[in-house]
Amino acid sequence: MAERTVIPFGPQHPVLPEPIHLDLVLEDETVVEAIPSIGFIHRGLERLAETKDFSQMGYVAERICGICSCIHGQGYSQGVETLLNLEVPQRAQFLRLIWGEQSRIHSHLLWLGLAADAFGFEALFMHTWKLRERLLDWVEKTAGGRVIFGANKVGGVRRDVPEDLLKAMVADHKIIEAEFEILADTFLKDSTVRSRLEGVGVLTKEQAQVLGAVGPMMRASGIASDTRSLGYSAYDQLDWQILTEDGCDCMARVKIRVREIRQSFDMIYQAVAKIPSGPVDARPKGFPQGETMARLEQPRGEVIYYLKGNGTKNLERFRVRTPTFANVPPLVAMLKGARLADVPNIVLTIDPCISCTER
Amino acid sequence: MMREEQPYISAEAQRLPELAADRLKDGWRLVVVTALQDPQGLEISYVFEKGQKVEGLRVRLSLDQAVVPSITSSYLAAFTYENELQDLFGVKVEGLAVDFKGQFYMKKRPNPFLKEPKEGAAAPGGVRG
Amino acid sequence: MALGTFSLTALTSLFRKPATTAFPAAPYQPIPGTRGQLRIDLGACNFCTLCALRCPTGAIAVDRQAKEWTLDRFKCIICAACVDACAKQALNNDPHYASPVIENILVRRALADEAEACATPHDHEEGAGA
Repeated sequence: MAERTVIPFGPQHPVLPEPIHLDLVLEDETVVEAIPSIGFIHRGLERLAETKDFSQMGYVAERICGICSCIHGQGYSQGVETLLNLEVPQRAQFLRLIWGEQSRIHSHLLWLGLAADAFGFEALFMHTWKLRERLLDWVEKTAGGRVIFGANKVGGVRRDVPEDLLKAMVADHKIIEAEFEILADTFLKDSTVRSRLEGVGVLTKEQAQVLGAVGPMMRASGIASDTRSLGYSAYDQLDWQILTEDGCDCMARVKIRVREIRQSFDMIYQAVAKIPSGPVDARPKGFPQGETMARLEQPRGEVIYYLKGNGTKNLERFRVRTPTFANVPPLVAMLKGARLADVPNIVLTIDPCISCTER
Repeated sequence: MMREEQPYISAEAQRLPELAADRLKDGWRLVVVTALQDPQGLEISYVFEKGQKVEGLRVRLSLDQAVVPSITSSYLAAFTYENELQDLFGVKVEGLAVDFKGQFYMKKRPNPFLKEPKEGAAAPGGVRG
Repeated sequence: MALGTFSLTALTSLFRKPATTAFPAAPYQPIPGTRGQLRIDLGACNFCTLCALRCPTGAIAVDRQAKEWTLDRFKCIICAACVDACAKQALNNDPHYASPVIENILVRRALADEAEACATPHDHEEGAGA
């Protein structure tokens, strides 16, 4: 038997956006086993629901993670609205959709940049993030915050966006999309990128089903499932299809995220064309009672908010199951048999958002 | 906004592995395992999804008899959730395929999510927190 | 065989000016409507304490009898819950962010002091800090 070495990967690593620790057991340069351990950023946010008012808890939920902030706020608000039997006005649903899709685009652009950094293409990383800044300027103009959007609250959204600003936003988004296509060309066609990503991190369709992969991980292995098809927000009023790829490797996941960015831009244009006028919030009455699970589609996959209220102003239980938490078993399965040089690519391909995983 | 049905079925803790195996054969996907503590003890919900239907199995445990069998024999992906049950709530899970023995989350004190009866309620509500 | 997909981008970016502003040499252009630091117009405030009750972190403390409003800068997460809650629109967000400090600032505003001084709120606050 060859000699085995154990190399620690993380918690500090140039390629990781957030700290996770993996003990890699290597034989020569091949990973035989990977043992994860988490807890570096565990803040116990779920227990805060028992001390904070249910409307104040929305601010905590938004701050679980910086990259996925908007949809965390939306998911929490949706869960509480179900418990209060509150009907959210249509204009608020459309605004939530627009901000949610902008959140998806900026998260995928961030990921594409990090993936480029993981295989050493730093110039591409910088260009992708420069494009992302232009998008975040629009989020700041419409929602008020760059990283923590602060857009959602129980009952609707916190501020309205005037029509002329929406039209200017769509016009600028078309320019951003055109610039993105130039970068997408490099990601999809460049032979150095392809030689690093093709055939790496293979997760077959059967493995994805049994191990419980979610989001782009699942769709890049051929399973057509997207939580947006549940029709929350205004997704049932837009024309879109679930995207799938058959490659099952890292290159397929890059392809699918690029296609999702294009789809999100299209959804934003459709939503701005269809947005009705009207109020943007509804006043919550009473206290949350009962239990519910709100399921949404984060950029990384399916996120679940389990909320239980007992008729007082504090919730009894607030539980977030984020997509990265569900993607950890596929990560461990993909790392078996990988080369050491491919480990950063594989860790990044699940789009790890460890702040969300550990709350 | 449409509201999906989310029914919960009560189950015996001992029957969990066979119920999970049935679900796996039927094509259900494991979605989440959640635990919560109420004055009568612990309530653990295993939620499954197939197509767009969601169903949960609910197990009740008392604090001094907090033992469940593992479902990793069918759903290997459940090891993350069951380790979290061990770490945060002090539930003993028997037969875990990948057992971190309470070290999955690096934490200062054991069972941080378990409220001890003698500690009284959590911190007073209101603005301070 | 596509090796040159990035060359056009690389070449054009050699001749473009930097995408970043030369801060602090060039001034910071805030985006209007962004949530920067919290400001209060004490003349409009009626000390109802609603902002202190709604604050998720407990950063605001209001003394009704002494007519004082205190903000703990380190606790404020600039969520603007207080701005939404204020019935008199006395609170607002300045689009400029507060500059970094090494010691906490407790911004204490009292109606009695404001009545004497004629300084604008901006100058008064900078002086109140560490």
